[in-house]
Amino acid sequence: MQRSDHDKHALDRVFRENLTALYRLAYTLLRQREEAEDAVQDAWLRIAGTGLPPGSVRHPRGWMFRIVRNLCIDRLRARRTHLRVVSTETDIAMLPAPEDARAMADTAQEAVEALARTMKAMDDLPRDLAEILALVVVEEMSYRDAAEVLEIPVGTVRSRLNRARRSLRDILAADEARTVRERSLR
Amino acid sequence: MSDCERMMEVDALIDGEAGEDAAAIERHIRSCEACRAYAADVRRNDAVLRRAVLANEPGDDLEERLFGPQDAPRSSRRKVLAGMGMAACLGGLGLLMRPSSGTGEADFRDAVLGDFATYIAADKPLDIAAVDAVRVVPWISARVPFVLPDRVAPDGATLLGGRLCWLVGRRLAALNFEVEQAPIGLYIAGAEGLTGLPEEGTLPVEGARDGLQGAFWRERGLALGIVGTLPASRLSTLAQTLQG
Repeated sequence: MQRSDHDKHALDRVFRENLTALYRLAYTLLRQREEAEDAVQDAWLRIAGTGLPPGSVRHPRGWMFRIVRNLCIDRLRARRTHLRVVSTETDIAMLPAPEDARAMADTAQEAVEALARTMKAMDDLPRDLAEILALVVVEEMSYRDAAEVLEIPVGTVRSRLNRARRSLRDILAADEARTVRERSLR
Repeated sequence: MSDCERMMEVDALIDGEAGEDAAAIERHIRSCEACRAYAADVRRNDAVLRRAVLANEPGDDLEERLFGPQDAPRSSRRKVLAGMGMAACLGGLGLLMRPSSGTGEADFRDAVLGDFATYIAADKPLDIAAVDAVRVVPWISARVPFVLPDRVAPDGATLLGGRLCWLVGRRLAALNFEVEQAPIGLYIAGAEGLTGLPEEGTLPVEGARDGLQGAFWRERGLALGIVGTLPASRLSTLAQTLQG
């Protein structure tokens, strides 16, 4: 097998293995199913068309995530929606969380509600915070791999991830408190 | 909500990125109320986030759009690729969304022994394979809705790795070891609604099924069981090395 064929097969395999994860990242950024699928398709067309840049890609998986991410950012720019970067800790509202308010759901209904609340909270997060959660928490990337995908230092991954988790916690706590208030008024 | 400047280190511990600082961070979490609360929140939120986002898959036709017609239906290919550990992990969502048996009583011993029999029959698949508890424990901790006990390795046991299980209507942690060249499993779950367990603070009770033995006990609201092919009395002795 010639090297170019070998590379193509390897790229094909890595892309297929990561197809769903790449879609999830695209969806996290674009928040529209069809557009996320289109972004993944665009990424594959680009990757299949150009192949690996010679000598410049140590981790093809991370490179593919980076391509999908960049294509999503292009689409967001076309929509005039930007990745909002939260620059200071003070942007995070430190709302009081009721003790054990989000205890693990015991019933199917509560579980479904917890999933829906969490997805909505992801939608409410700034995209840069949602994407770090998608990469590190959902796709279980190491901090170093996430840093390569996002093209930021590892230290920024750490601080951004911390802001993301605290923001998610605050959004869920506020949502929980609102739900409790509404139920008490019924 | 109180705050602590070391919360970023708590993230690193949960993500398995703390390295040799892990023990120091764990000690800090035990002594810092803010970090303890933060760690519990993160573990719970991460687990729900994973379930929610992992359920979001592209349409069935995307793979075909990209790669052309496939040899087998996508769902069956995915089952093969996913493997047992991942299937169990993703299956959590489906189980979570149908009526749960967690609200009724369920026999912990029976469920755990049955799962361990499957684990052996399936050639011992692990979700995380590592001999170092510093890697395995944070990985599992981040994915279960309870706090693991401080001590999870029985005396003389060699850690092989860990798994996540969905049994008796809830998420369980399973740590897998080898003792005297025999595989053993330590199962941990929230104890609420489970039967087949003794009172807290008492010696483990023994159980057996399908040629496997086990020792089971309660501790701090958790149900714990050590199961394997060793004699029940030996497993009970191992269990007692973990009791506080």
